[in-house]
Amino acid sequence: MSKNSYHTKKITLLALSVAVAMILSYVEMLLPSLSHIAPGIKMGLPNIVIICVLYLYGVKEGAAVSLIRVILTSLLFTSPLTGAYGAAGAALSIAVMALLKKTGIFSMIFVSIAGAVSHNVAQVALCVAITATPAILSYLPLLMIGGIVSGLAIGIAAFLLLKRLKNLIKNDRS
Amino acid sequence: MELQTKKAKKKLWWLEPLIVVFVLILSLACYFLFVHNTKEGSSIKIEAAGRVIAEYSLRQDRLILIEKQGDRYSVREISAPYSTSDFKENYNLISIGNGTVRVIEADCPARGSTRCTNQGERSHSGESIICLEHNLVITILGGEEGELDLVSK
Repeated sequence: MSKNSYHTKKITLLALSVAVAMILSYVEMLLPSLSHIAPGIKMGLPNIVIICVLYLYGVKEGAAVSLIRVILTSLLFTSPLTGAYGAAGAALSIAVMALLKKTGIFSMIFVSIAGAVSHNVAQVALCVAITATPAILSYLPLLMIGGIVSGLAIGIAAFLLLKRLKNLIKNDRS
Repeated sequence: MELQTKKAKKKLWWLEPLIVVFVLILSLACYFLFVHNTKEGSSIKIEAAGRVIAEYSLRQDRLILIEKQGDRYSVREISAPYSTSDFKENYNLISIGNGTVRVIEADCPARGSTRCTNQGERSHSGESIICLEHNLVITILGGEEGELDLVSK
Protein backbone atom coordinates (compact mmCIF):
# COMPACT_ATOMS: atom_id res chain seq x y z
CA MET A 1 0.00 0.00 0.00
CA SER A 2 1.38 3.42 -0.88
CA LYS A 3 2.11 6.01 1.77
CA ASN A 4 -0.64 8.21 0.48
CA SER A 5 -3.38 5.64 0.73
CA TYR A 6 -2.09 4.62 4.17
CA HIS A 7 -2.63 8.21 5.24
CA THR A 8 -6.09 8.30 3.73
CA LYS A 9 -6.99 5.12 5.55
CA LYS A 10 -5.60 6.49 8.82
CA ILE A 11 -7.58 9.71 8.55
CA THR A 12 -10.72 7.76 7.74
CA LEU A 13 -10.22 5.39 10.67
CA LEU A 14 -9.57 8.25 13.07
CA ALA A 15 -12.71 10.05 11.89
CA LEU A 16 -14.61 6.81 12.34
CA SER A 17 -13.20 6.52 15.87
CA VAL A 18 -14.47 10.02 16.70
CA ALA A 19 -17.92 9.05 15.41
CA VAL A 20 -17.99 5.81 17.43
CA ALA A 21 -16.76 7.62 20.56
CA MET A 22 -19.52 10.22 20.14
CA ILE A 23 -22.19 7.55 19.77
CA LEU A 24 -20.84 5.85 22.90
CA SER A 25 -21.08 9.16 24.82
CA TYR A 26 -24.68 9.44 23.73
CA VAL A 27 -25.49 5.83 24.64
CA GLU A 28 -23.95 6.50 28.04
CA MET A 29 -26.38 9.38 28.66
CA LEU A 30 -29.28 7.01 28.01
CA LEU A 31 -28.07 4.40 30.51
CA PRO A 32 -29.75 4.38 33.93
CA SER A 33 -28.10 7.08 35.99
CA LEU A 34 -26.06 6.02 39.01
CA SER A 35 -25.76 9.57 40.22
CA HIS A 36 -27.72 8.90 43.42
CA ILE A 37 -24.46 7.24 44.52
CA ALA A 38 -22.22 10.12 43.44
CA PRO A 39 -22.90 12.80 40.84
CA GLY A 40 -21.02 12.26 37.60
CA ILE A 41 -20.34 8.56 38.12
CA LYS A 42 -20.41 6.74 34.77
CA MET A 43 -18.97 3.92 32.69
CA GLY A 44 -16.72 5.96 30.43
CA LEU A 45 -17.65 3.98 27.31
CA PRO A 46 -15.91 6.40 24.88
CA ASN A 47 -12.63 5.47 26.55
CA ILE A 48 -12.77 2.07 24.80
CA VAL A 49 -12.21 3.91 21.54
CA ILE A 50 -9.62 6.32 22.96
CA ILE A 51 -7.52 3.45 24.35
CA CYS A 52 -7.68 1.58 21.05
CA VAL A 53 -6.54 4.67 19.12
CA LEU A 54 -3.81 5.29 21.70
CA TYR A 55 -2.44 1.77 21.25
CA LEU A 56 -2.96 1.54 17.50
CA TYR A 57 -1.64 4.95 16.48
CA GLY A 58 -0.15 6.85 19.41
CA VAL A 59 -0.52 9.71 21.85
CA LYS A 60 -1.11 12.51 19.33
CA GLU A 61 -3.90 10.63 17.61
CA GLY A 62 -5.45 9.47 20.89
CA ALA A 63 -5.47 13.01 22.30
CA ALA A 64 -6.91 14.43 19.08
CA VAL A 65 -9.76 11.91 18.93
CA SER A 66 -10.49 12.41 22.63
CA LEU A 67 -10.64 16.21 22.50
CA ILE A 68 -12.59 16.36 19.24
CA ARG A 69 -15.05 13.88 20.76
CA VAL A 70 -15.52 16.11 23.83
CA ILE A 71 -16.03 19.27 21.78
CA LEU A 72 -18.50 17.72 19.33
CA THR A 73 -20.43 15.94 22.09
CA SER A 74 -20.82 19.15 24.08
CA LEU A 75 -22.00 21.02 20.97
CA LEU A 76 -24.51 18.35 19.99
CA PHE A 77 -25.85 16.88 23.22
CA THR A 78 -24.94 19.00 26.23
CA SER A 79 -23.53 22.45 26.91
CA PRO A 80 -20.21 24.35 26.82
CA LEU A 81 -19.84 24.00 30.59
CA THR A 82 -20.35 20.24 30.51
CA GLY A 83 -17.88 20.26 27.64
CA ALA A 84 -15.32 22.04 29.81
CA TYR A 85 -15.67 19.32 32.46
CA GLY A 86 -15.32 16.68 29.79
CA ALA A 87 -12.24 18.38 28.37
CA ALA A 88 -10.59 18.62 31.79
CA GLY A 89 -11.24 14.93 32.44
CA ALA A 90 -10.18 13.89 28.96
CA ALA A 91 -6.98 15.96 29.02
CA LEU A 92 -5.68 14.60 32.34
CA SER A 93 -6.86 11.11 31.46
CA ILE A 94 -5.05 10.98 28.11
CA ALA A 95 -1.90 12.50 29.65
CA VAL A 96 -1.81 9.89 32.42
CA MET A 97 -2.57 7.03 30.04
CA ALA A 98 0.11 8.17 27.57
CA LEU A 99 2.74 8.43 30.33
CA LEU A 100 1.93 5.02 31.81
CA LYS A 101 1.89 3.42 28.37
CA LYS A 102 5.29 4.95 27.60
CA THR A 103 6.91 3.31 30.64
CA GLY A 104 6.16 -0.01 28.99
CA ILE A 105 5.66 -1.90 32.25
CA PHE A 106 1.92 -1.48 32.64
CA SER A 107 -0.83 -3.51 31.02
CA MET A 108 -3.59 -1.94 28.97
CA ILE A 109 -6.11 -2.72 31.69
CA PHE A 110 -4.04 -0.85 34.27
CA VAL A 111 -3.64 2.08 31.87
CA SER A 112 -7.43 2.11 31.48
CA ILE A 113 -8.00 2.12 35.25
CA ALA A 114 -5.51 4.97 35.72
CA GLY A 115 -7.21 6.89 32.92
CA ALA A 116 -10.65 6.49 34.48
CA VAL A 117 -9.49 7.47 37.97
CA SER A 118 -7.57 10.51 36.71
CA HIS A 119 -10.60 11.56 34.64
CA ASN A 120 -12.69 11.67 37.82
CA VAL A 121 -9.98 13.44 39.82
CA ALA A 122 -9.70 16.18 37.18
CA GLN A 123 -13.46 16.70 37.12
CA VAL A 124 -13.80 16.90 40.89
CA ALA A 125 -10.90 19.38 40.99
CA LEU A 126 -12.50 21.57 38.33
CA CYS A 127 -15.86 21.34 40.09
CA VAL A 128 -14.33 22.48 43.39
CA ALA A 129 -12.62 25.35 41.57
CA ILE A 130 -15.74 26.52 39.72
CA THR A 131 -18.29 26.18 42.52
CA ALA A 132 -15.78 27.25 45.21
CA THR A 133 -17.20 24.52 47.44
CA PRO A 134 -14.51 22.24 48.90
CA ALA A 135 -17.25 20.00 50.36
CA ILE A 136 -17.54 18.41 46.91
CA LEU A 137 -14.25 16.65 47.64
CA SER A 138 -16.31 14.28 49.77
CA TYR A 139 -17.47 12.60 46.56
CA LEU A 140 -13.88 11.85 45.52
CA PRO A 141 -13.49 8.47 47.30
CA LEU A 142 -16.66 7.06 45.72
CA LEU A 143 -15.72 8.47 42.32
CA MET A 144 -12.29 6.87 42.58
CA ILE A 145 -13.79 3.48 43.44
CA GLY A 146 -16.20 3.98 40.52
CA GLY A 147 -13.22 4.82 38.30
CA ILE A 148 -11.42 1.63 39.29
CA VAL A 149 -14.45 -0.55 38.58
CA SER A 150 -15.37 1.08 35.27
CA GLY A 151 -11.72 1.40 34.22
CA LEU A 152 -11.31 -2.35 34.74
CA ALA A 153 -14.38 -3.13 32.62
CA ILE A 154 -13.43 -0.65 29.90
CA GLY A 155 -9.83 -1.92 29.89
CA ILE A 156 -10.97 -5.50 29.34
CA ALA A 157 -13.34 -4.39 26.57
CA ALA A 158 -10.59 -2.36 24.87
CA PHE A 159 -8.15 -5.28 25.17
CA LEU A 160 -10.60 -7.66 23.47
CA LEU A 161 -11.42 -5.12 20.77
CA LEU A 162 -7.79 -4.29 20.07
CA LYS A 163 -6.85 -7.95 19.60
CA ARG A 164 -9.24 -8.00 16.66
CA LEU A 165 -8.43 -4.53 15.34
CA LYS A 166 -4.67 -5.09 15.29
CA ASN A 167 -4.83 -7.42 12.29
CA LEU A 168 -6.81 -4.82 10.39
CA ILE A 169 -4.17 -2.13 10.88
CA LYS A 170 -1.16 -4.44 10.47
CA ASN A 171 -2.25 -5.40 6.99
CA ASP A 172 -2.16 -1.74 5.96
CA ARG A 173 1.49 -1.20 6.72
CA SER A 174 2.75 -3.92 4.40
CA MET B 1 8.23 -3.78 21.69
CA GLU B 2 6.16 -6.48 23.27
CA LEU B 3 9.19 -8.76 23.53
CA GLN B 4 11.32 -6.09 25.17
CA THR B 5 8.85 -5.44 27.93
CA LYS B 6 7.89 -9.04 28.59
CA LYS B 7 10.74 -9.54 31.05
CA ALA B 8 9.90 -6.37 32.92
CA LYS B 9 6.25 -7.37 32.99
CA LYS B 10 7.01 -10.77 34.49
CA LYS B 11 9.18 -9.28 37.21
CA LEU B 12 6.67 -6.62 38.15
CA TRP B 13 3.48 -8.67 37.93
CA TRP B 14 2.58 -7.65 41.48
CA LEU B 15 2.91 -3.92 40.86
CA GLU B 16 -0.42 -3.30 39.17
CA PRO B 17 -2.67 -5.24 41.56
CA LEU B 18 -0.76 -3.67 44.46
CA ILE B 19 -1.39 -0.11 43.26
CA VAL B 20 -5.04 -0.83 42.46
CA VAL B 21 -5.72 -2.51 45.80
CA PHE B 22 -3.85 0.25 47.64
CA VAL B 23 -5.90 3.02 45.98
CA LEU B 24 -9.08 1.01 46.54
CA ILE B 25 -8.38 0.56 50.25
CA LEU B 26 -7.36 4.21 50.58
CA SER B 27 -10.60 5.35 48.93
CA LEU B 28 -12.71 3.02 51.05
CA ALA B 29 -10.95 4.18 54.21
CA CYS B 30 -11.44 7.85 53.29
CA TYR B 31 -15.07 7.16 52.50
CA PHE B 32 -15.87 5.39 55.74
CA LEU B 33 -13.74 7.67 57.93
CA PHE B 34 -14.70 11.06 56.55
CA VAL B 35 -17.74 10.80 54.30
CA HIS B 36 -20.04 7.95 55.28
CA ASN B 37 -22.63 9.28 57.62
CA THR B 38 -26.02 7.96 58.60
CA LYS B 39 -26.96 10.89 60.80
CA GLU B 40 -30.11 12.57 59.53
CA GLY B 41 -29.60 16.20 58.65
CA SER B 42 -31.72 19.00 60.05
CA SER B 43 -31.40 21.77 57.47
CA ILE B 44 -30.07 22.60 54.03
CA LYS B 45 -27.72 25.27 52.82
CA ILE B 46 -27.96 26.47 49.23
CA GLU B 47 -24.75 27.86 47.81
CA ALA B 48 -24.37 29.66 44.51
CA ALA B 49 -20.85 30.18 43.23
CA GLY B 50 -19.55 29.45 46.72
CA ARG B 51 -21.79 32.00 48.45
CA VAL B 52 -24.64 30.92 50.72
CA ILE B 53 -27.88 32.27 49.25
CA ALA B 54 -30.42 30.49 51.44
CA GLU B 55 -30.92 28.10 54.34
CA TYR B 56 -34.02 26.06 55.07
CA SER B 57 -35.08 23.60 57.70
CA LEU B 58 -35.63 20.02 56.57
CA ARG B 59 -38.49 19.56 59.01
CA GLN B 60 -41.06 21.44 57.02
CA ASP B 61 -42.15 20.32 53.55
CA ARG B 62 -41.88 22.94 50.84
CA LEU B 63 -40.96 23.77 47.27
CA ILE B 64 -38.15 26.23 46.70
CA LEU B 65 -37.66 27.86 43.31
CA ILE B 66 -34.28 29.27 42.39
CA GLU B 67 -33.99 31.38 39.27
CA LYS B 68 -30.63 32.48 37.97
CA GLN B 69 -30.41 35.66 35.96
CA GLY B 70 -26.88 36.50 35.00
CA ASP B 71 -24.87 36.34 38.20
CA ARG B 72 -27.89 36.94 40.43
CA TYR B 73 -30.04 34.28 42.00
CA SER B 74 -33.57 34.78 43.22
CA VAL B 75 -34.96 32.34 45.77
CA ARG B 76 -38.64 31.97 46.63
CA GLU B 77 -41.07 29.38 47.89
CA ILE B 78 -43.92 28.27 45.66
CA SER B 79 -46.95 26.10 46.28
CA ALA B 80 -47.87 22.73 44.86
CA PRO B 81 -49.75 23.17 41.59
CA TYR B 82 -47.10 24.85 39.49
CA SER B 83 -46.26 25.03 35.84
CA THR B 84 -42.64 25.07 34.77
CA SER B 85 -43.58 27.44 31.95
CA ASP B 86 -44.16 30.18 34.57
CA PHE B 87 -40.54 29.97 35.73
CA LYS B 88 -37.87 32.24 34.36
CA GLU B 89 -35.07 30.64 32.40
CA ASN B 90 -32.25 28.93 34.32
CA TYR B 91 -34.36 27.58 37.15
CA ASN B 92 -34.02 24.78 39.68
CA LEU B 93 -36.96 23.59 41.72
CA ILE B 94 -35.99 22.01 45.02
CA SER B 95 -38.41 19.91 47.02
CA ILE B 96 -38.13 19.29 50.73
CA GLY B 97 -40.33 16.52 52.06
CA ASN B 98 -40.16 14.00 54.92
CA GLY B 99 -36.74 15.21 55.95
CA THR B 100 -35.20 14.67 52.51
CA VAL B 101 -34.26 17.06 49.77
CA ARG B 102 -34.13 16.58 46.00
CA VAL B 103 -34.09 18.69 42.87
CA ILE B 104 -37.28 17.88 40.98
CA GLU B 105 -37.12 20.29 38.04
CA ALA B 106 -34.30 22.05 36.22
CA ASP B 107 -33.94 23.46 32.74
CA CYS B 108 -30.22 22.85 32.37
CA PRO B 109 -28.94 20.94 29.35
CA ALA B 110 -26.96 18.43 31.44
CA ARG B 111 -27.97 14.82 30.94
CA GLY B 112 -27.19 11.53 32.55
CA SER B 113 -25.21 11.31 35.73
CA THR B 114 -24.24 14.97 36.06
CA ARG B 115 -27.85 16.19 35.96
CA CYS B 116 -29.02 17.40 39.37
CA THR B 117 -32.53 15.95 38.99
CA ASN B 118 -30.95 12.52 38.60
CA GLN B 119 -29.10 12.75 41.88
CA GLY B 120 -32.04 11.50 43.90
CA GLU B 121 -33.05 12.20 47.47
CA ARG B 122 -30.54 13.20 50.14
CA SER B 123 -31.16 13.24 53.84
CA HIS B 124 -27.89 12.63 55.70
CA SER B 125 -25.85 15.52 57.03
CA GLY B 126 -22.85 16.34 54.88
CA GLU B 127 -24.40 15.02 51.67
CA SER B 128 -24.88 17.37 48.75
CA ILE B 129 -26.60 17.78 45.42
CA ILE B 130 -24.64 19.57 42.74
CA CYS B 131 -26.05 21.42 39.75
CA LEU B 132 -22.97 22.23 37.69
CA GLU B 133 -24.72 24.19 35.00
CA HIS B 134 -26.26 26.74 37.37
CA ASN B 135 -23.34 26.61 39.78
CA LEU B 136 -25.52 25.51 42.71
CA VAL B 137 -24.57 23.26 45.58
CA ILE B 138 -27.19 22.12 48.07
CA THR B 139 -25.58 20.76 51.23
CA ILE B 140 -27.34 19.10 54.12
CA LEU B 141 -26.35 20.35 57.52
CA GLY B 142 -26.60 18.37 60.71
CA GLY B 143 -26.63 19.64 64.25
CA GLU B 144 -29.37 21.53 65.96
CA GLU B 145 -29.98 24.55 63.81
CA GLY B 146 -33.62 23.93 64.61
CA GLU B 147 -36.46 25.72 62.94
CA LEU B 148 -34.45 28.74 61.93
CA ASP B 149 -35.41 29.79 58.44
CA LEU B 150 -32.76 32.12 57.24
CA VAL B 151 -33.19 33.55 53.80
CA SER B 152 -30.44 35.99 53.09
CA LYS B 153 -30.17 38.07 49.96
